[in-house]
Amino acid sequence: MTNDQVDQGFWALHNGLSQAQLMYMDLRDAGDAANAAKAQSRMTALQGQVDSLLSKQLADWQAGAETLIPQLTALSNQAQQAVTSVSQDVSIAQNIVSALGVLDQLIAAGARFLS
Amino acid sequence: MIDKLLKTKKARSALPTVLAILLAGCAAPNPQPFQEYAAAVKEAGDSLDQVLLENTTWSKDEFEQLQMTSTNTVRLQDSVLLDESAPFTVQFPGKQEPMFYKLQDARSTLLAMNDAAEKYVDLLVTLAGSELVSTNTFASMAKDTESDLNSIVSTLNVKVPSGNAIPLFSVASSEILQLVIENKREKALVRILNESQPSVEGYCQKCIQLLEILDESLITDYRVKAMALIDTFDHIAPAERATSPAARQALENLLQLNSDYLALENSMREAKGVYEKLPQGHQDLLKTAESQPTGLAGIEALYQQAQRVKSLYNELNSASSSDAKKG
Repeated sequence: MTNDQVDQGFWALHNGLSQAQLMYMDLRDAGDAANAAKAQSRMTALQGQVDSLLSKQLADWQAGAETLIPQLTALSNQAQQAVTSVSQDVSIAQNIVSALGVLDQLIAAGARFLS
Repeated sequence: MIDKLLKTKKARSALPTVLAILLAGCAAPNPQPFQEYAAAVKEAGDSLDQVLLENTTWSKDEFEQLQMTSTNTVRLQDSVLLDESAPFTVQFPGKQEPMFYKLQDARSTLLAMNDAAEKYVDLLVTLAGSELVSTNTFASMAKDTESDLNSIVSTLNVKVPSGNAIPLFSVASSEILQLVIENKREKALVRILNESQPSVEGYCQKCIQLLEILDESLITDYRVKAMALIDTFDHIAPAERATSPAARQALENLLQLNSDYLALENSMREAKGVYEKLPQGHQDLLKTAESQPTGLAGIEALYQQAQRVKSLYNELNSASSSDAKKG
């Protein structure tokens, strides 16, 4: 059953339940105790079905969400690795530039003797 | 000799320009859309959590209402959690576990899911951020060396044509390395954003699904609360209602219930709108990372909508807490 079908089922049950509840109150207020009891019993049955359907939907949702969490965690790990890698590259670049800076200084010092 | 040296340095100084052409489009990404996107994910996640909490309260009210008004025999021992069949596994003893327990349980899953999603978008912000590959860091690296060298030049009294800066290995290399790192960062961002798209879509779909379930749960709880108030009102004879405090109270409570319900529905609809737009926003981030022209207005709108959801929930929260104070 698709989610849309489950949703349609829920709204059908919900509307039925509301009707049953209004009918129960009308019958009770009209003094028709026998039919009010019947309406109330329908109401209880429908309420049980609504609760079961909601519980099932929530359980299905939770099962699906539980499988998604490791996927999302894997994405974070991947992004973390990229951040670490770029940070390391920046450190390496700093070392390279420092080393080349020393070379520059040597060249400048050499230039003094060669000029 | 110096002239000769400058000639070769001139050639060297052209290298960053050549590399800049080769690595065209590798400028640092614009961090703002990433920050706004992360804020939208966080606000939407927090709002969904709050609606779940609110829903749990309504569901608990419904459970209590049904227990207290049921004409069937209610056995309170059916609500006592004594059945622990294995360590850390408590079973609800009654026929069916009440919905509010399930909602509480679902919350732990939602929090874990939101936490993972927020961590991911926060890392995107870091990866795209100006702090990670700071132009200032690179500029200061080169500047330090340059000033060192200038001091040597002046100490050694090397004659340099006035107005000509000496191009340096270190200056050139810092520029090149920055471009290379930017290139690597762009590639990493593009790869991650591409690979994450299905999971982000899955996450948003799950959040929308939860909102739909909560909407159904909410109307169920609303119905029970509303019907109880109608029942109270109906039990008072029409002629007595004008002077009956109970009738007035029932009416006021119903109007307040309607107002709370409508506010909650409104904020849930807005939250759903945010989750519907988040996947497209993620696509827009990809375009930003690829330096493609993109409608950043979409991310800005997403951010604004998430802020609206946040303020709606803040209003709801303050209303709930003032209701609680009123008792």
